[in-house]
Amino acid sequence: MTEKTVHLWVNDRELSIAAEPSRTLLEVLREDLKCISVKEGCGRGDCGSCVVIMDGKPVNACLVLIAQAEDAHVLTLEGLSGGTALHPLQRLFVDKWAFQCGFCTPGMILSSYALLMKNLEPTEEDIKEAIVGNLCRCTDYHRVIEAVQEAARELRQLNEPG
Amino acid sequence: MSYPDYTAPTTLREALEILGDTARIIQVLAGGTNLIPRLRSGEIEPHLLVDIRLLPLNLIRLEKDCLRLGAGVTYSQIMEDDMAVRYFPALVNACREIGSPSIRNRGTLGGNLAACIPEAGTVPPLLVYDAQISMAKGKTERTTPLSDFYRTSGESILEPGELIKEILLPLPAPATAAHFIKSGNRRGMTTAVVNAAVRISLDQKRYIREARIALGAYAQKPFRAEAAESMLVGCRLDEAPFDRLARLAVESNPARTDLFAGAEYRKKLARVLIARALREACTDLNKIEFHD
Repeated sequence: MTEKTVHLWVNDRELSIAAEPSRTLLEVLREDLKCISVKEGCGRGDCGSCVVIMDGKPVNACLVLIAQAEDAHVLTLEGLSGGTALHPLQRLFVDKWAFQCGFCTPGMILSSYALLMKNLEPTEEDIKEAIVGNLCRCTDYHRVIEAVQEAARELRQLNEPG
Repeated sequence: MSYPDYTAPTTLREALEILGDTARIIQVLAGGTNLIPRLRSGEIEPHLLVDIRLLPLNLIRLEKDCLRLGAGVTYSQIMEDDMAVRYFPALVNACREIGSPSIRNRGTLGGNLAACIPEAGTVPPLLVYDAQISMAKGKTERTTPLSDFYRTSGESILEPGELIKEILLPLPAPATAAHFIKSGNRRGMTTAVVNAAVRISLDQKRYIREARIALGAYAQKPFRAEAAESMLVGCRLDEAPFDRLARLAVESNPARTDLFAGAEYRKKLARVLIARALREACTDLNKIEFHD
């Protein structure tokens, strides 16, 4: 019908985008903004490949219309690293072999990141609950859990005073 | 897919005015977790989406004798609300069992009810807490018990142009315990095969004053097993015939067959879950100290 200008922040960049209001956030992130870390798996909220952080909370970008993201702050994996240095979660996913094909990895990392924002001492159960909506079909979840536990440990040390 | 128009009204009055336009196919958009895939697949083709996110329907308020939950409240909000956790643990547990964190951050209570799917997780706990649902259309409002919200077919009584406003939950009596159990084919991210919720309230002498048993995902609509409920009233906890009542409860509606389970299995499972939920509620009630 008619395009609408949507104002939002993506990875701390303030943007005004003209788009069909009922296109999904996922489509706009990938096609218009070239944030291709955000993957489309099932397109219906079942697989978690398109998880991004919106206003501090994990959401499935395939289940958000771009018009619903008006004034939102969106974080994708592209915004997590901050330049060339990997975020501890990213580095530990590499070190711990927590992926093979990598298709689920951006969503997996951002779901884990959302957990660590709230809880730097997650139990194994907490981590399983955080990534319950992120399907991985080729690695094993144990390595993901190990990577997240190790990242939490590193981030705790960074946060310690002195 | 064709692109519908979109609007996000900021007042209820404005929203109801827009929804009153019968010339176009209008679809209310809340969390979108159920709606957006149906939109993208072409299953529904509305002319206009009315996004309710800017309406003042996303609050949880404690009043003197009830908790009011706006229709736009998300599952995550309910899980994090101190009053909901304190008074309505079965509802909070049902929210915890829905989808994943990313789904629970978007999906709303009103959306769960309006979607009219048998396995809607919040319905059985809302039924055992005697929830009321308030709806608005044009300039009129109505409030009915949630148990009257679904027709036998599973469709709701919502009329075209009508919007769910809020859910009212009367605060439970002091000696009350409620329990919710979801069972699916695996633990996480799964569709319920059976949702069971129960509530037991005791009187001063520790006799059952009020009992509620509700099943979801079982028949075409979530329902209360009233015959079984009434047989619990007046019993003492240690002599209540839970297994017999569970058997009776599953007879009140025919079980359905779907992709995930057959009717026979559902029936057996529901029986086990109801008896288990009743015993869990008993365990909680036995911990309560009574002051005469």
